[in-house]
Amino acid sequence: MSGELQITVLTDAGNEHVTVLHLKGSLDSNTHKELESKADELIAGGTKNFVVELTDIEYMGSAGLRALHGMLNGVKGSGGAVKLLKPSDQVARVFKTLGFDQFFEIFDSVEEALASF
Amino acid sequence: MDSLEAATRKDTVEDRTRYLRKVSFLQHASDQVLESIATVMQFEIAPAGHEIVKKGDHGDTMYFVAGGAVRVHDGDTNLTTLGSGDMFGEIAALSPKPRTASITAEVDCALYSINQQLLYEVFDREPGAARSIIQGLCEHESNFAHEVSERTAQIHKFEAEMEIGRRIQKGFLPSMPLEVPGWCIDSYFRAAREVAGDFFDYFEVRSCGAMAIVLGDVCDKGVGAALFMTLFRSLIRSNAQSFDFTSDGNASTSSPTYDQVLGQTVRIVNQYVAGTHANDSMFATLFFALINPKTGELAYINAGHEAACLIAKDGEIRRLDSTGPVVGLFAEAKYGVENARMGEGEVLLVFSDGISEAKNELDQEFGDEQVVESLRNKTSAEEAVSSLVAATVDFAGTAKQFDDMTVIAVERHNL
Repeated sequence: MSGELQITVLTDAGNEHVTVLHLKGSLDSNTHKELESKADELIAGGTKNFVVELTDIEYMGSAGLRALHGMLNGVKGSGGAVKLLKPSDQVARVFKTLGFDQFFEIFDSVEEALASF
Repeated sequence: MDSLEAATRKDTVEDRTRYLRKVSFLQHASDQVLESIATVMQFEIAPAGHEIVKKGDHGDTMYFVAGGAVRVHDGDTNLTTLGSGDMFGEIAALSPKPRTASITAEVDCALYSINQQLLYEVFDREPGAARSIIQGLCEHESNFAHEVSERTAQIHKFEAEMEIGRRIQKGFLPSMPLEVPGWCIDSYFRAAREVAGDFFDYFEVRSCGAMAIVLGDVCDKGVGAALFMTLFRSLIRSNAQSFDFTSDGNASTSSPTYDQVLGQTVRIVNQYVAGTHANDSMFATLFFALINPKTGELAYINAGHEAACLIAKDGEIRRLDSTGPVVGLFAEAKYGVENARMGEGEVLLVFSDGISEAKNELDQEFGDEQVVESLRNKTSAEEAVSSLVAATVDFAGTAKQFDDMTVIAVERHNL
């Protein structure tokens, strides 16, 4: 199970303190480094609040979950947060089974997600 | 870039011939041959990042690196780096074979190129040219064979190290049967690679008179997962059995509850890994049960693991679902303890996702429902394990095993 990952960075989604990452494709052992590099770059540039949109993620493997945890670790020290937006059914199931839904806030709309910071 | 181009463009045939004399590939060529090549070769600049040749393409040009450095690679895998005096592209230039690797400029590079037609014209004009090129190719081939031999030796050494790792890791799995009257255990373990992230364990917790059953699955695969597997397995066993002794090493006389042993063990393991190894983001799913061998009372924590199966005598299968998140990521995680009871003739079976997510040749998943189906009316641990493994292996067919496959089952005998 592997594929491509496309990452779109939106800094003008409606809250200047929050960067929205739209992910598309597969977040797995072949693609997780792309998310990690992008997040590291943004965090190094001062970003501390993220909304990660997961609607178009078709497959999430454990490497993807580790990447999201790494983002959370990266912003926690500066009081930042990583919140998730509209996970697909497969991703929502994985989050629930592994208990990730207890540690990441999950939203159904970008407006709600942005307003929660 | 400008200075590189300007400097190299000013060169004369004499300068180029002097350069070619330092190219080891042409060390057998006469001055006349070198001068002939120097006269027809073209100067090129390759800016940093430019892919000069692409693996699989057909080309008829070979190159000499006059300045800078190029990366020889196959996709993302770097094979070597070439610099001034090195040559590439000769296979495609001298044969109909496509490019065997990709070459990309690491920095701005100055190159001399010569295509097949111009090279053949040199061969026609200079009788010694072909012979010196053949000698150069033979030496190139000989060096390559030596390099392959050295790399093969390195691979063998690495494989021997992995084999040592595999044997040591095997020692982390229980090898002796757990001798508890009225109970028996069966298990199955097949790693997807030399070393595994899955583990299972069973041992006594004397302080509360229980037998412990553990199955863990560390995320990821290979060496990293294997290192964490040994950490998780050892932390769980040592923390659970720490209740057996007082601080001065004597047998403890206090008797903790099952909830205390399970809860404290998983909490300590989780906080240790989440705190000490936070930057690795490594985690394990875990099923950890304590069973009273006299009464069949069972208490468990399921930390993000596949629901275990409790196979009742009447064929019904009860699932023991998740009671908390994965272990090792979130220090503040809370784990619930749930209870069940195993009657005589009943079987508890725990499996890893390498079973339920096994794939066949069509990339279809075995699935949880098939796991349950294969366990219906199985009344012994041995029968349950062999039925589930046979169904999984049969489903997977010739598809490559993707993940570690682990099953452990415990059975309470009919008395």
